[in-house]
Amino acid sequence: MIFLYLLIAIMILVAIVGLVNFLIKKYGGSRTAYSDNDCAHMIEKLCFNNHSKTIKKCINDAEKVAENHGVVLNYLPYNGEKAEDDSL
Amino acid sequence: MTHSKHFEDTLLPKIIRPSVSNALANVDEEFSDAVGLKSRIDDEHYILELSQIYEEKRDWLRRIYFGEDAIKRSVGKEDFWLDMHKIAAVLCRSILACKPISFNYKVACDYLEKHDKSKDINWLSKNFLINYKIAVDVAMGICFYDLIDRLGDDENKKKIENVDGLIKKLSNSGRLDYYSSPTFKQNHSNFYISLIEMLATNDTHNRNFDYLSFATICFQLQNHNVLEYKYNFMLNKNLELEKKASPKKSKK
Repeated sequence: MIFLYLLIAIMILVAIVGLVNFLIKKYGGSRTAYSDNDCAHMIEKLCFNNHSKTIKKCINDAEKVAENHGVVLNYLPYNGEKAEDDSL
Repeated sequence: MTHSKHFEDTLLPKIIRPSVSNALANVDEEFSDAVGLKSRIDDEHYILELSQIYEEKRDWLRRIYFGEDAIKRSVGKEDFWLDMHKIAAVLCRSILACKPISFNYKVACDYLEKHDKSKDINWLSKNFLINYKIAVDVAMGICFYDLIDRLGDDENKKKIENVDGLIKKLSNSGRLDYYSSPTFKQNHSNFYISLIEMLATNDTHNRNFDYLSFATICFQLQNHNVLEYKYNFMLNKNLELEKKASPKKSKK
């Protein structure tokens, strides 16, 4: 009999915790105007700025810009040269 | 399956190969021999794998940004492409997923301990962390071309005084200028090495690559190059004005 009472008490406790959790989430838990799911859905629907150039066109155009200035572009990765580190 | 034409024609010869060759040219020969360091850049299978990873990740990011139908919508149109900062991030991530240099990491760890190199970050960035150096270099290669491309725009020509000088400066150095660290001279990695450290730490701890944060770093570095040039240009201009003014003062 005592186990039955104990079981009922646990069930009531779980139900209260669940209800409180639900109420917090619905009415006051979120700091934003939207719940997390709504927010994620909104962000998915946003339209980000797009770019109208492919990498190939970008590189070709950069080479043309350099050519117009009488120079040839050759990418030379950095190797930790001292002079550049102290450039300011 | 074959890799796309633009990968073979543009990214590979203009950015990836120069980055790998440059990194290999700066490797410590003793370390290279000890750990059996090998480049995979001439391996056709490697190139195919890298290009597939790059295209897969690029299209995934495009779908996130412009919607599931972005790739369909962009066919035949100059639209719905990622900006070059994000392309730089995607290529950097692809290099991390498909590393161009292979070596025996276990032997390399023993080598570091034996030769007391584990705290020499300058040495580490060129040797033990060579794949991460290449990942940074390819990303910055894209930013380099992108900046020169944008400096050629008529709008930017109006915004930046003597833009021709900046284009020539960048072309002559062949790369972007990295932040100097005037206030962190001792026991602090410079900006470039910090990037390598960041990639290596995140990769080895299996942290997700943050494309947008990396793209923002690219954006900042390009802006730094323009602003530093503007600052130096103004400084030189003022110095010249002062020089011109000083003889008059002495006459008085």
